[in-house]
Amino acid sequence: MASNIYKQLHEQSLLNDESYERLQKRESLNLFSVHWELNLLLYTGVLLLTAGLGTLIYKNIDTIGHQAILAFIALLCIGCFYYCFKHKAPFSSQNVASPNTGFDYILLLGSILMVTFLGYIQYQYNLFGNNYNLAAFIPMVILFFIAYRFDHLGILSMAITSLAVWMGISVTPKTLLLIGDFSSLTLIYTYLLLGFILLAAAWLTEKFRFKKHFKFSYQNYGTHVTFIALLAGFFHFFEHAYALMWCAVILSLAGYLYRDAYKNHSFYFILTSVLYGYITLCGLGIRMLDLFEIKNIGGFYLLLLLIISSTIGLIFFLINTYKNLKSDDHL
Amino acid sequence: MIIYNQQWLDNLRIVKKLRDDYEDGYISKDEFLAVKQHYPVGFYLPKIVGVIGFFILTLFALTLSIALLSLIAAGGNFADTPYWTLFLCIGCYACLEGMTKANHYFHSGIDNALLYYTAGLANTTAFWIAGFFENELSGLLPAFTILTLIYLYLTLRFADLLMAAGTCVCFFCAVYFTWAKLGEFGMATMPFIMMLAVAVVCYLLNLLNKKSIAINYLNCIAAGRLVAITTLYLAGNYFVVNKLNNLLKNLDDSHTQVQLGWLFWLWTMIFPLALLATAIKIKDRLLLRMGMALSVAAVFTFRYYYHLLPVEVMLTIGGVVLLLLAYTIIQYLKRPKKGITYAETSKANWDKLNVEGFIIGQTMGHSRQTPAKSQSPFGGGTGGGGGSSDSF
Repeated sequence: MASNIYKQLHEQSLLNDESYERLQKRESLNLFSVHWELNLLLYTGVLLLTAGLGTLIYKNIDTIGHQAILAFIALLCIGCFYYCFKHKAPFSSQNVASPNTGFDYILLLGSILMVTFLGYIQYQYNLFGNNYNLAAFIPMVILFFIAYRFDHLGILSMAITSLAVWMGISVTPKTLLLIGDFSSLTLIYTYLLLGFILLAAAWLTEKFRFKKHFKFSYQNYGTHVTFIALLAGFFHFFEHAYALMWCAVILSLAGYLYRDAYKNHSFYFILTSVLYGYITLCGLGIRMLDLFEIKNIGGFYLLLLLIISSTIGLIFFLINTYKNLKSDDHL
Repeated sequence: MIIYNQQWLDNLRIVKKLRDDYEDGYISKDEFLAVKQHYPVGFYLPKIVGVIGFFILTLFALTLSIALLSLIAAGGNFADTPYWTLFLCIGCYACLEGMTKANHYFHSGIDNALLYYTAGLANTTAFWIAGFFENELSGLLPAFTILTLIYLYLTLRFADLLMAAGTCVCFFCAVYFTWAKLGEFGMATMPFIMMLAVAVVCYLLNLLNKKSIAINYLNCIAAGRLVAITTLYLAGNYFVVNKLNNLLKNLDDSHTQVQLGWLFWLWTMIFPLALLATAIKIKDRLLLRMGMALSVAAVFTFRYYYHLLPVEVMLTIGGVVLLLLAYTIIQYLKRPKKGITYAETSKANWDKLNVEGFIIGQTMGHSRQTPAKSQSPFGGGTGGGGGSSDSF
């Protein structure tokens, strides 16, 4: 069936002879790749082995001892980084392909081991004392360095997460107790700052053309963190006149990000900025109804009608935006 | 029968295939653009981010609309009857038909949401009329029979994966409740009847798979086969047979013996292996992956009845065995053997691996016609350039 299509395309001279022959050759070889399946087998094997060994060690920790385990992790970690530095590609401010398929995984393993090692040593021996700030700062710096030096998006995400942890800790040591609880204003402002830093990083990355492909990670984290913090602030001051100010900030940021995303043809960011803006508007609508004391069943109907019609409007707006994006898209 | 424009469907198939070839570097960009121009596709086809966004928004709007309508209708007696959901179902279907035709949707998120809502409302109506919500089980047979027909119609009309899977599930349920009418004898022979029914369905689907009449439904057939093979395995799985047996005879879980136990153990263990062997022989990716998944099920079944070793030792040994196995096969397949290779046949897709590409790729990777293409979950990612390239 497939070769029929190619034949037909070739006869219509939509495919040149060279491509046609290449495709024909591939079809006649009829290769069946089990790459994905075998990789899955490998991953499962690694997962089972680490889980099994981990449990074994955990159960026998008294006979093995912490030092032995720490030494083992350190050795493995050093081994990974030794391999990576030996096989590294030269640094460039552009996208760098990894030297071989295993390289990225070894680098990832080394980074995870490094974080585990530092965490373990802090937990067991209190290396940094009560200076949690430093305990989070060191891995963060190393992770950012590795991400930039070896051009690894996964490690960049790890670094961004540890940046968040570091900032959270530097505000209050009890952050862990407060995670997910946005009632504290300090926490909201911290996350807002984090979000703006990430958005600024995304902007700078593009502006100076330095590791431009990192922009997505920065912007992705930045958008969500900023909007969630802003929304938390908005609902924190819901009953207050300040809510209007928060609302204005959210809407202007959404507008800016929408324009930026439109320019960059990223429908994902268009969608996120529009949705966060829409949630804010809904909140504002509910507040308005509340303000005008419309609390009977009629008010509820009105609210439902408003939300339904605005959602349908939103869908059509997004469809239209997508069509406009598509019209200057060539592929 | 199908709602979509047949010409566009054919063109879409060609363009999709050539897009893969282009991304794998087999043809040049100019060639791909020429093909794309020569075979125009008029469907509204957003990228996966758009599909998910539209799907969620439509679901949200539909839920609120139905809530509003139900609230308004709640004053009368009509809203308390199953005919209210039937009315909503018909309304939903009318919207689906009209919007799909008018706006040329093709699995664009909006039509998916409407379709699933229609199917869900049809389910509610059928079970409500059958008296399922009052714990009445006698009406289930007609309910499942009617649902099978409804799902079959929706599958044929919209070529949707979930509808195809639903058709198979409803059909097997209908078979189950038909045979259960025979009473004691029926329940005793249930596994064999289920196997027979599934085998017939598998055979028919395999036949259909090669017919040109089913060309629009290849994904649906794959979904049907997935459900059928899973049911086939479960019908003879020792754990399932044991539990159902206990349930029917009102025994507690301490009973682990069933009649013909050796036969079911044999089925539990041999079936996944047979599936794997067949998959390798006929180079069928669906069977291969199902064989792998069902092997896991077999291991869990065995483990449930026989605790030979502590968990952590089992995990460690299992991990070592799997690693050795994978390593041996990779070494063995360094040079392709009998058309099977470890190499990736679509390298280009992996290079673009990126968070966004990752998300996008999850739903791609289904071309039955191209067995040569590696169907990696990351396939078809178009998130290169940090999601801000012009193809996004």
